[in-house]
Amino acid sequence: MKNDTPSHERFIELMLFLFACVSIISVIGITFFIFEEGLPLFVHVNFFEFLLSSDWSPTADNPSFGILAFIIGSIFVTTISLIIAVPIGIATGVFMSEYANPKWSSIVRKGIELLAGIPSVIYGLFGFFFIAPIIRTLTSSDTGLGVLTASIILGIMVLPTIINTTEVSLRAVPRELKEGSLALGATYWQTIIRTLIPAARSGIIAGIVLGIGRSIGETMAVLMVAGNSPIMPKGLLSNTRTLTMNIVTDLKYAEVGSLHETSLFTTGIVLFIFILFINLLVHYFMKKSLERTQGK
Amino acid sequence: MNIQQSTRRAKREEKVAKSVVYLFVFLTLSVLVWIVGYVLFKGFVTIKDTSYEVTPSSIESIASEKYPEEPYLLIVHDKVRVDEILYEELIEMYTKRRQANWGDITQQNLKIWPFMYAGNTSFYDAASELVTSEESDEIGDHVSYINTPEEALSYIENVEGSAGLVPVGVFSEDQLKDVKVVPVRMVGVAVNDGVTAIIDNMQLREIRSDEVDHLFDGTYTNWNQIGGPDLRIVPIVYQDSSIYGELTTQLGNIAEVYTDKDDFISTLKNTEGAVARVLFKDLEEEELTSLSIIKHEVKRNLTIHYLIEEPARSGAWGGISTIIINTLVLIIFTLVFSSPIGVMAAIYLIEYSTENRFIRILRLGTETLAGIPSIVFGLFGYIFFVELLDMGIGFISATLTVTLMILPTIIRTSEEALKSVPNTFREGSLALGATKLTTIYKVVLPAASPGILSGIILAVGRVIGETAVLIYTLGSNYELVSSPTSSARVLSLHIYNLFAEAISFERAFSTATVLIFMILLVNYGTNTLIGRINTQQRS
Repeated sequence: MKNDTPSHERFIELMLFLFACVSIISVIGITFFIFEEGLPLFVHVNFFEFLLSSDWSPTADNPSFGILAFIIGSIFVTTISLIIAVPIGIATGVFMSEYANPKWSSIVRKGIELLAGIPSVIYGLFGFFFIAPIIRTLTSSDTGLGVLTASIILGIMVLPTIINTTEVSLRAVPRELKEGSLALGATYWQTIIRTLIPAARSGIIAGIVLGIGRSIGETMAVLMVAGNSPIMPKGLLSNTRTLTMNIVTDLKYAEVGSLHETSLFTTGIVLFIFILFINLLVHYFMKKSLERTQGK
Repeated sequence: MNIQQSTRRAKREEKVAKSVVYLFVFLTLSVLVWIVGYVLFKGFVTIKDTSYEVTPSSIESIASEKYPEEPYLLIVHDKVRVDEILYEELIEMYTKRRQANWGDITQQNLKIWPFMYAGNTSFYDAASELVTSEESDEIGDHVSYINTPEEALSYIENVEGSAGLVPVGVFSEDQLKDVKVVPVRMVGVAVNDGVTAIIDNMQLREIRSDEVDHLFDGTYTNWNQIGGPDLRIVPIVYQDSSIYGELTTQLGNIAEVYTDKDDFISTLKNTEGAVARVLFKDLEEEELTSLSIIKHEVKRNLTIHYLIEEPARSGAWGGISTIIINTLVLIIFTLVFSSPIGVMAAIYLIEYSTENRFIRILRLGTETLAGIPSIVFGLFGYIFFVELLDMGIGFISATLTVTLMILPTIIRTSEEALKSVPNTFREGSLALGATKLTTIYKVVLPAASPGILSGIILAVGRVIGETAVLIYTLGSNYELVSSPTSSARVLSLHIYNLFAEAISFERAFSTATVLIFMILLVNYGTNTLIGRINTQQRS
């Protein structure tokens, strides 16, 4: 192996280093271009009006760009979806790490992998043709589409994320804690609820926040089941439009270079800031969880 | 006592909690089974009620009224997947100004090449009477005329999509043995005007196909039994030597039989509650009131043809062959870009870097990239690759955008795989005098390869399912991708387009079924690989 000269190796190392930088460069690039395209909107539109008005009529003679309804829509749908997904997700995570024998745990794990792998358009189809008719018959809703249907679908979609992180963080809890609790006479369930879950708290919260991120960023499935009207959602059965839906829907007919197009990138900025904030939270909780389990 | 009570309570609590946990697990699994089962079921089977102008019963040899002694058969090319045809479709085939397409009938993109047997004028007259109606009475230019039985047979054999009305009489029995004959649905149900009158905001407009016979055999005696007005059902029948003769054989004996057509029609028009089976053509010509017939249909949805035919008419006709290939091409090219970058980045992060602030920033970058929603990637791809670099909405823009998107998946799984290679491997190789690069290339990478591969397959799964990022970077052209800049359509996009443009929900489900099978394959692949890693580590 005489031809493996040090300079040759150094060159390869440099190459590897450059490839390692691709992702951070992409993040910087994405951030830069979304902001560069979206920020010019504020030259024409008041910053607060954009965020606090719910009047979205970008193609009117006197156009108005207010995305409050979409922000509320996103938050509303995400909140309900987590109310649905968190108990089920944590319970299944507990099952996987504490109750299941290897056979069942492997079956459930494969199932969850499949659930995570199903494309969002298929969730959308399922929501439109299966969930919406049920909602339509059970409630007074005309179409069955809206916040509730979107939340149910999103709830199913974020389940795998919550289940996985719950399981992993429960497994990372040191054995001594569990054994100690059981030795003190606590029942199995008391051990889980009073010792294991508190010990794994940070990890579980990180998973939930990750779920929030997925829920807020999801586009296609909600686009197909949320009804997509640019109004302030009034209740669970009301049609709604989220930030992501606004981008997809309007980019189709926004004129290139128009203020309308710019405003969609500004919507993208808002979404992006949400996501960055969520990422930071995940990062914080993950770190905390790591410190907890390793610190003891 | 107290302790016992609290123990009992704790035990009860334990039981309740456990059953709640099990219930939720059961719920998760059933949701999964439900979704997959629902999509697969809808993908393979279509069940729906369709409303027709004619009854389900079809007639193979049809004859015109003027030439009742000359029965005709509709023969079609072998490749046409048609079991029966509606009479209105037959008329359209011959009289439509623009050449008709089998797509409207069988969803296969194939032009219809109709021909008529015109051995002599009476044959021509009889056939043209059959294929024209009062409204569309002109035979199109695309119809060919054929004069001998042999010519007709060779036409039907050689011209794809051909269909022709031929008189049975001129063929010998053997000649028609191998030819596909399509029966025609041409019988409608005509009623007296009073039957469809609006009473209390209710109107009888349609009946189920299985109820039709009951109108004639005495099972139903009053129209109010099937949602109509309070009128007695009066079944009548017209009998002559043509097709009407065939209709009477299907009847019970309670119907009143007429042999004079004018008499029959006027009885139908003037008797309250009268009902009769009437040829579709007469419904139109005699301006009779008719009932629509609802047929409950169970059909196979996803067929092999759907997989191998090219799409046409925005996906309403044909299949998804080019779309499947486009999906595979997109996967391959994305992997060509992303796997080397991802794996090399992971090698740097694990093998070369020392933990410092800069590396932490690199890691944070990967994490952030993983969290960015696909629609934001779509926006970035649209503004950067499509507009700024002027690559246009097309294959190359989409590939590069998706590459960035799946990079974190590959980096993370490769990192894990590299981490799991024991340090003794590296030390052993280095001790033998190998350089660091050789060690990585010859020892570490082979040991980590199953893990890296499983990460790549995981990334494939993500590419297959992506839609939002592709709408504004890949476009929606469903033809085979031919150049880096050509717009294309992949399976997930196709599902969305079929759904959003309301082209065909059945087809959206069959495409979804194909997609689910791909996902299952991907999951199977990763599971097998991970299984192999586990056994490797154990041994």
